[in-house]
Amino acid sequence: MKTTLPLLALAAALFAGHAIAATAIRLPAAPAATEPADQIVLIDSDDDEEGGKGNGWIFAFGSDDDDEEEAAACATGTDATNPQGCLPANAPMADPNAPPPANGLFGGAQPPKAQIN
Amino acid sequence: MKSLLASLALTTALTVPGLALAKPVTLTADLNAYGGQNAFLVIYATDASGAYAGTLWMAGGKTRYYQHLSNWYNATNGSMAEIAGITGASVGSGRTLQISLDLADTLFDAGYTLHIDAAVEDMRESPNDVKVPLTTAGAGKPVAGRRYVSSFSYSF
Repeated sequence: MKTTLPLLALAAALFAGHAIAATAIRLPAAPAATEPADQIVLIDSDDDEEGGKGNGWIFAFGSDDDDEEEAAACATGTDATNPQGCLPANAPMADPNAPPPANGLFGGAQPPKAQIN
Repeated sequence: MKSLLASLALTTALTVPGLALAKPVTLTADLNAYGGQNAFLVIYATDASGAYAGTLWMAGGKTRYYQHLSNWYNATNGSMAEIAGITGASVGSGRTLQISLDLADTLFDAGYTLHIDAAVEDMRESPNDVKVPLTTAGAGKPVAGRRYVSSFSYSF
C-alpha cells in the first residue's frame, strides 16, 4: 500500500502535466489547420444601405485559383453575387488611347490625364 | 478667298463656344494607408435625379474586378464603352491619384454628384467611398472618404 500510493501520485502528476502540455500545444495550432491562407469568407456588410450588393468582401483576386473560379462563375452565370452576370476573364480592356466617351461630362480639347504620387 | 474666310469664321464660331462651356478641373483623391494591395477606384457622376450620368476615370486595368466597384457596375453593367480613353493604373495604399480634365460647366450647381467606388483585394468593397455634390462653392474643399479614400477634392 505504501508503494502503491506514491506510484499512483506520480502517475497522476505525469498524466496531468502531459495533458496540460498537450492542450497548450494544441490550442494555437487548431485554427491554422482549418483555414487555408487564401480562403475568403463572404460576410454580409452594411454596404446595402449605400446601395451596394451587400457581398461585403472582395474576392482574393490576386490568387490565380480564385481568378479561375470567379471567371468560371461569370461565364456560367452562376455567380450568386452578380446575378446580372459579370465580365468574362478574357474581356478586352477599354482602349486607353480612345477619345473620352461622349457622355456630356467632358468638354474642351484636352483628354483627361491621371497622375499617381 | 471669301468662302474660305467665311468657312473659317463659321467653324470658329461653332468651336469657341463649345470650348468655353468647359473648365479645367483637377480631381485629387488621397488614399489611406490601409496596408493592402492597390485599390481599384472609379469616379463617376449622377444627375439631379440620382441617375448615372457618366464615368470620369477608372483606376485599375483588370476588367474582371470591375464588378467589385459595385454601384458603378450596377449602373453600367461594366460596359467598356463607358471607360474607353479614361482608364489608368490602380492606386497604392497611401498614394494620391490626381486627374486633370475639362469638365462641362453644366455639371456645376445643377444637382450633379461625384461618386468614387473603391475595392481592394482581400478587403471590403466600398461603394460610394466618396459622394460629393458638384458645386462651384465646393471647389477646393476636401471631403472625407468612408474607407480607402482619406480625402477628396476638386479644384478649378
